[in-house]
Amino acid sequence: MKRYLSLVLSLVLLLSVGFVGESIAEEKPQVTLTFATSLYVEEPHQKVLDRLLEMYKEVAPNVNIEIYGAGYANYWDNMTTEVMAGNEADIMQMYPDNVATYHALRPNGTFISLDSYLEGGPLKELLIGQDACVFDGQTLALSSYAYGTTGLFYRKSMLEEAGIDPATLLTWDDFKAASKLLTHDDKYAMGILTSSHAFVVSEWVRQLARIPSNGFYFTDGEIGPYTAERINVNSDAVKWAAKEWQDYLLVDKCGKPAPDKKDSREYFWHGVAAFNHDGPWFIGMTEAAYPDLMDDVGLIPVPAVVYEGETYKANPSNYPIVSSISSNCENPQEAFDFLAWMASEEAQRVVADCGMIPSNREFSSSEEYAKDHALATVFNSFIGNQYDKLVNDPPIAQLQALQQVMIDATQAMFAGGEDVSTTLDEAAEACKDIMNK
Amino acid sequence: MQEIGRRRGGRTRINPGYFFVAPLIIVMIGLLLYPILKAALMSVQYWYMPKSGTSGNYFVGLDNFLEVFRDRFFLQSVTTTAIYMGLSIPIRYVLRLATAMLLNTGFRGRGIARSFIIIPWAVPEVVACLVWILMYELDFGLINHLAMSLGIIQAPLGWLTDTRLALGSAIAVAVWKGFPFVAIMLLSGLQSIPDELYEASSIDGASAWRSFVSITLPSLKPVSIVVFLLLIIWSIKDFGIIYLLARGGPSRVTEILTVYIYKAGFSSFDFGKAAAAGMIMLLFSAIFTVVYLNIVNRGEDA
Repeated sequence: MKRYLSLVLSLVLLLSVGFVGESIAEEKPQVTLTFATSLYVEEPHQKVLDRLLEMYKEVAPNVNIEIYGAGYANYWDNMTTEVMAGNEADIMQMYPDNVATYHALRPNGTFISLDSYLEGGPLKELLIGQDACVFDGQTLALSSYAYGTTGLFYRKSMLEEAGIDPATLLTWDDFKAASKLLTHDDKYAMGILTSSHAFVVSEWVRQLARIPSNGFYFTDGEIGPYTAERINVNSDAVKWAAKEWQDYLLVDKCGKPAPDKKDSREYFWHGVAAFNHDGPWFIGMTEAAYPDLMDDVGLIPVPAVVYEGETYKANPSNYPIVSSISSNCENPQEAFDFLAWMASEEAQRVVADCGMIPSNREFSSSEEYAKDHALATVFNSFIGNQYDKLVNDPPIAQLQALQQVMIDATQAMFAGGEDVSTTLDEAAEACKDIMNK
Repeated sequence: MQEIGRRRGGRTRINPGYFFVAPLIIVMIGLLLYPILKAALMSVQYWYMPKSGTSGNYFVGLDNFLEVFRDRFFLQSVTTTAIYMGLSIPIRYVLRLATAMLLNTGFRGRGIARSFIIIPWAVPEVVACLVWILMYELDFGLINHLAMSLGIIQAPLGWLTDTRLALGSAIAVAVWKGFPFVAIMLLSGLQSIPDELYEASSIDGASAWRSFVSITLPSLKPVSIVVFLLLIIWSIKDFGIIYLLARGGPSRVTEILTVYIYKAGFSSFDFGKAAAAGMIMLLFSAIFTVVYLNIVNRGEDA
């Protein structure tokens, strides 16, 4: 009996060692990654990101991801401080036009090149916006979350009341005429930023200035070479657009001045403004804040612009949300694996709930996506039919400095009512100084 | 030459007091002196971040300072700072003196009133500014609602979005926020004035105003000197309230020098220029302080 028991015990012990050994061999080291994003403060994105992290815990149990980040307005200053102090997050989410600026803050570059990670894989072709992540021949970011462009959301009831058929708003002149009908008794056509917010430039540029000028900061669609001589902010077309926008705001008073983008969205939701210039992310915001309003929300493309007898199709920006990996990241492979997983169909299905268009082109062009996200899919038809080639801000390190010059200029013109020609000429000189530094 | 130790039986004994102040000195060197020296160095170097990664931070002499002086927004920010100080300091002092005098009199609930005035000081700056932003809001703000209800205004005003009103609105918040500290300092000064002086002046037939001018103000002079000096220093270096309320806008009308410096660094990424502007601001502060103390000392000597 004793011998039999000893034999069984030995066998049990041997098997246990085997299991433990197998567990030890399988167990990967625990990794913690920090993930900075400006989106987490917005409810639709917060839900999506929380769900993604939950799902990824099952995919890679040894990887723990901690999210942090301020809202859009303060996120960039925070990132500057962190990058210069060398304590930035392992993964940083941003837009393609920010990558070059932050990459230049450190002598050897802030972000790692992802070319070796992408080689041989499908992501370069699979992800919309991935082509915007290449800077000086290096891929510095991955467009594995979502993207969107902009359109004009409208309140169906307000347009009906004013007798306006949204399908007839094909040009800026049509839109202006409709705006005048909508502006009365503390109601406005649109909320328009007039503060120090970066959108004070982009709203005007995307709806008007860049369309006939084909390049706001630089000529020829904001492509290089990026030299002082090619600064375009005081071209005749831009000056014309500035006068139009100034009259729209200060003479016709069709735009309700808003200090922040969230205010102009509130004006739309509360029936103070009939239009809101925004992207597919606004769908998620509206669904989260005022789901009952969705039946009253319609969408039209940004109108074309007729300038000097010629019609120019709208060319708003493509806003892919991209992620870069810090050169200080101790676990770049794990960081890339997470970003690559975000491009998978299971992850993109969750990303779609934020309202933006998932960047995995196979998924975002599928019937399943079109069925579940009809309004967001409309943006795809704009890009395919109504819009010209989308134009992004120049991907150069000096972009934020140029934007600051234009924020000052637009405030002077659209809040202060200053002469557009003089203001833009001065702004052009300031931009040239920046490029010549 | 200051004695650092005493010879005792052939051995120099170091005063142990130095060990007690050593941590403070080390912290001040680390958190104050080093950043100032570093900024001074950066002000004469090339620190334009979009390019300095490849160019390096080479010596540029006074180029950054010249660029600052040539920038019209710098001159504008100096003017705005002067207006900000010129209005906020007297208003802060007068209001706080009035409050301190009121709290120095006996009335029912004085204890509670004294504790209430601490509230602006206790509320964090960010929280206070967020609340004020909501109160200043054009359509739904409390201030417009009250002012229109009382018939003071006919239409809502853009307190932080109107270029004519933004600076005044920001000054109002700065005055409110800094209320308690100086009021308490002045209150303690008032409480140290002997009652016999007021009794004597009353017997001599002096009016309340006469007593205020001849007894209260002179007695408060030492405290007032400190108060004004602190107000000047705080006003010059004010940043949080202005930035949180309006970020220097609209159209830079609230851009005081500190906000200009911040934007030069974090918006334009020209840290050399920002450092140069910072050195200029340090110089202004130092000059202000020295001139102010000289005037005061001359007044005392006279």
